[in-house]
Amino acid sequence: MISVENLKHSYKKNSTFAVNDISFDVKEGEIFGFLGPSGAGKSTTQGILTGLLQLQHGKVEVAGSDVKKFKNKMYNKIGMSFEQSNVYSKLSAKENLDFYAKLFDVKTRSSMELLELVGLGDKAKIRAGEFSKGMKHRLTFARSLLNNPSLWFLDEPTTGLDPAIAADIKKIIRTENQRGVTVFLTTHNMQIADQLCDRVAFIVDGQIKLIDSPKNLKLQYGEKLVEVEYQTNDGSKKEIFSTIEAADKKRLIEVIDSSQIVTMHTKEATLEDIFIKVTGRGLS
Amino acid sequence: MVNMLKMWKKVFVVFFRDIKSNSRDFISIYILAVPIIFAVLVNLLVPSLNETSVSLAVVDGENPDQQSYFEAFAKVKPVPDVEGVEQIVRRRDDVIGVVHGDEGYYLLRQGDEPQFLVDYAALVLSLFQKNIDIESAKVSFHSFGNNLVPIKKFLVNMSLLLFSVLGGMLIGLNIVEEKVDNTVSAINLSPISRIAFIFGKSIIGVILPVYGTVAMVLIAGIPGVNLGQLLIMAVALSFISIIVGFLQGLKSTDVMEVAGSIKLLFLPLGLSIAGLEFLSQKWQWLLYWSPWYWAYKANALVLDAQDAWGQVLMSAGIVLAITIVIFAAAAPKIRRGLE
Repeated sequence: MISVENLKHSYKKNSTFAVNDISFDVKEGEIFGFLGPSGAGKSTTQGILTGLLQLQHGKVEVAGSDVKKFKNKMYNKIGMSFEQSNVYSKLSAKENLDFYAKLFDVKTRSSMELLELVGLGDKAKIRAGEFSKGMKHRLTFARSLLNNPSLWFLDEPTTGLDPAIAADIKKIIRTENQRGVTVFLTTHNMQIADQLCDRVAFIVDGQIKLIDSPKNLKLQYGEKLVEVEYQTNDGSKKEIFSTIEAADKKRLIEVIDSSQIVTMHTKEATLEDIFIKVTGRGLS
Repeated sequence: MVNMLKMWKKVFVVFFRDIKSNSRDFISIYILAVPIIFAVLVNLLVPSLNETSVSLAVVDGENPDQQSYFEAFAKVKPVPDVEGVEQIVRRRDDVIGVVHGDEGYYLLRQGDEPQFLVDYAALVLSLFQKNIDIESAKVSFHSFGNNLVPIKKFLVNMSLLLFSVLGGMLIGLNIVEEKVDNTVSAINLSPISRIAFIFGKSIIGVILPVYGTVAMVLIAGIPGVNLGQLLIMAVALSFISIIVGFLQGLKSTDVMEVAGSIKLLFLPLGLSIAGLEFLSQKWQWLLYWSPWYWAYKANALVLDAQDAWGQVLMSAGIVLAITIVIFAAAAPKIRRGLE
């Protein structure tokens, strides 16, 4: 569904690349997570894939079309839920959806059905300007489903939502995926990626460090980590060590020899742990 | 053909969304109401100026032949005596008295009547005194080329130019709304082409001056005017305001900034009007760059109900040529701003 080869992008059009020579594929029907901290190049990549940013270097195909030759009618197949809500404040929730529905050339879903789906059914006639941040986010999310997209871009779909609503959103994503929708999920929330994604790519400093399924990553890194809490002169400190990497093993022995251990236990690696381990960077 | 129909359907979807949004915003409602407010104000501020016939006050029965002769050319107001004539002349209305003195009849005027009214009254009096009747004169006495009194013509013409600027202001406000709500990115990821989106946003910039022109002609009451000629000028002039509206909307971050920056257009607009009214003919070329100069000039002729087709078409052509130059300079900025 998506094919990216040697993609590079520079905002200053010089040798400073926000995205530097990345390649990956997204298969039809999968949920692909694009994970990384702020400024890693996630939004730039997504911008190029959706045609919002011009392709500078590399080859990118989305839904069978070269992004360089993107036609407007391509957007009949694509849905996009933005991280920043972008709805018309002076229009009601229903009017917002009805307006966008009229821009599509394909059969669209009922605006009321979508509002009900995201829990805004009873707010249909209220102007979006009066909505909370979370409600606007849900409205933006609902809008991205109007055209029954076959490729669905989701940028931080659960940001700012309370856990119950976030769970509903995740359920909707799963349901749509089961209907055959390919999902490109951009997030720095490893939990949602862990729960939803078939495969994930870790991107840091414009480069992809790893692409694999969360299951494989856990098989590779899980049960092989030891979390140690020990006393130092500055108080207690927590560290995670791999039991198979030589440098980590050496360091673990040093800690055991030189410090007073408070707690020590093996743990299953979360995607976040793996991300930190693989990239050497946190997600915030 | 089908694609064109689809495109125009989307153009109007964008237009009607803007109208719906405008109807929920006080400043936009006010701008939309301005043409009607101005037309009503012109009527209120310039009383009794719809008619351009000359009113003559005479002493009733003093000279029945003369009174009857005057009635063929002017509105005659008979009063009982000379004091009555003086009283009626002193009123605010432009009435000229015809009074018999020691050396025959003379014209009694308040002093602030338009010169063409005085000239007309003098001419009618002279014609009577020389025994020239309508048949033998073979001359039509309608007006001196002034269909409207100068102040009304000035206010109407200025308002017509102002409506085009207001159209641009409304576009600017609608663009700022898209920016504040961050909706341009969502539009860019929908199957509407950029050109259709721009057309949709632009329609109000044409509709407002067109509706303003019609409202002004109908409400202010302008006799014998060629509405088609005024509309040609309104449409020709609207394109510049549309471009400026887009530029200011994309540059501004809030409503007040748009209103403030669009107001800058009033300066060249005012200069153009002042220049045309007060500059001598040999200096008029200084204003040839201004589209408002050409529009004002053409409208002035149209409002006088004169044969203005030549001037209207030439002015519209010049305005469009200036628009093309401005568009060539502004198009890249507009394209970048909508990305």
